[in-house]
Amino acid sequence: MTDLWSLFLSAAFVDNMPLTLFLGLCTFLALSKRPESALGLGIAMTGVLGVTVPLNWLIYRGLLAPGAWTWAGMPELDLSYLSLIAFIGVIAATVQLLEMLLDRFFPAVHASFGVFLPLLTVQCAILAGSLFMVDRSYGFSESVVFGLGSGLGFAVAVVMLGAIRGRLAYADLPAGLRGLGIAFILTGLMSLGFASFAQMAMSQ
Amino acid sequence: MTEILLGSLVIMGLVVGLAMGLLAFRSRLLPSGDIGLDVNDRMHLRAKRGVRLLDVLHGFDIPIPAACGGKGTCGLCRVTVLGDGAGTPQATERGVLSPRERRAHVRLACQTTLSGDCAVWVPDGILSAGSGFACTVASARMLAPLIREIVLNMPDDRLSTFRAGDFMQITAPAYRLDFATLELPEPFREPWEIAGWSEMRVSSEAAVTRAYSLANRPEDAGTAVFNIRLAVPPPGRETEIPPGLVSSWLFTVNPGDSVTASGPFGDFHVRPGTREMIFVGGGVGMAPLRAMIHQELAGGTDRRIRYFYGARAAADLFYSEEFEALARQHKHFSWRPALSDPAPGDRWTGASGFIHEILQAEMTRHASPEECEYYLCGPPVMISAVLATLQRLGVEPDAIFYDDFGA
Repeated sequence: MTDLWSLFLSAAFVDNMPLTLFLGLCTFLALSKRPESALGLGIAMTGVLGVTVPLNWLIYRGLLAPGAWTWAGMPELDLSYLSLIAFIGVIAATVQLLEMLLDRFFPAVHASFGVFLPLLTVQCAILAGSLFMVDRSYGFSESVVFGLGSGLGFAVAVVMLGAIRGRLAYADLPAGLRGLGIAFILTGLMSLGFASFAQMAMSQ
Repeated sequence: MTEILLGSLVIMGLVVGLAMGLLAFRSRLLPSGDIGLDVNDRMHLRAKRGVRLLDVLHGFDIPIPAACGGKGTCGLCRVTVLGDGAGTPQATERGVLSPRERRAHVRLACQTTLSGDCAVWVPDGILSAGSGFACTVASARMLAPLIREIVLNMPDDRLSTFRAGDFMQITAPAYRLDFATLELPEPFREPWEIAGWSEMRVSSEAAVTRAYSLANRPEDAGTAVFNIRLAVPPPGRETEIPPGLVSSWLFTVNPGDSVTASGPFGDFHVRPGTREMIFVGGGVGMAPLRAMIHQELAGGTDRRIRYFYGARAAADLFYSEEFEALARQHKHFSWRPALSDPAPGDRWTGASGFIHEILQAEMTRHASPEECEYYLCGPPVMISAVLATLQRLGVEPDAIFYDDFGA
């Protein structure tokens, strides 16, 4: 249990997707202009990562991994070269499902996402979640915790950035820094802050 | 070999499975039943979920005007929509609707997709105008190389007089046209040949509707007079961009033909008052201004009226004798035509230059240009140039009324 908890914490903070690994920065920067849309993105990321990582674990272990077909008398069969295409398919389907759910139950959130919701299909952080899961040979419960943890880490980071950028509306910035310029600087400063989590992990 | 086969099977199975799952969810999540729509608390309609409000209203013969063809730019299809089924205004609507209109739940019918029950209010005149009705063409003649005057006989059960500034919608059926077959009167053949318009072809697969302003004088009661400008593509792109679908068709109609029209509609009218009126027109912006000026003068107004009208060359100037006669009859009316590009053969002795320059030159000599009312109608470029001129003259925006052809 403590292992899962520490995996959750490390996925959310130490290996934070946008701020430590710099994955998924496009949506991270694009949808963090206002805290509300940032919160929506965070929830969507947590949902998609929480669903796709375990689902891809099942597909990988059940169909693609070396030795997955031992029961059928083909122990040497290795379909893991198909994992990229299979993962992307699962992610695309999950995003579509999420889009339908949002459209049905939260039309306002759906409208605020605009084109960025379908773009989650090719969001690198989401694909990275599934690839890390394979790379680090997580078990099923670990993959659930890892998916939810890294999604939540993304949510925390994007809501924080959204809140700061919301405040910056009142700041008198030099013209060249307004918009994305200051967002990049903020991301850098925040990632310095998140680097201290890595220190804590090491000193344990 | 088994690896390739099994791999293909796994991927195919996965994709088919995902697609089936999505379809199952879709049929569960997105209800496809009908929705209810109340119009002005009088009509109760049923419509399919997910269709555009404009299409629903048109489908039930409520002729909401849509000069731009439902692209969200003309802003003529304003309706008031209450109920969750209409969703939130789109970005396209925010550009057209004022904050006050948005607070009052005004929407553009062409940008509103219905996802649930809602109540719609349309102007009462539109609801009673009913659907299109057939008119016969009384006369048709060319006024300028690209402008044709078409007079329709109104059916007996319709309004025989209009408020000046109103417009009607004309529907062109599906048709095919090769412009080489058009018979042009002699003076206009040469410009057509030079511009290569005779080589254009156009075909339309379905009925298309556009709005045209009425150019009726009081003596035209019982008919509807239109000035139709053929919307030609920009020079050099005749083969890529088709000419206007309805205007092209209207160049083919002859006296005795039947034309489907609906209306009248409009909110571009002369305001009552005593202030001096300045009319500024260009191209077929002539139509509503001609109706307004004739109506005002026939009504015996003593307001001072000036009419500035801009054309390119003398051939593009029409109704000129008519306004000269009016200016002779009425001392308080003056007619100021100007040509921006007079041809050498025109022997033009009047003003030359763009109409906003002529307007500025005359109005700077005026004692108080800000005390006048301005009525503008013409192509969008002309409107924006005139608006800039009026701003320099110190005219408040609420004294300027204009119709920029829904552009």
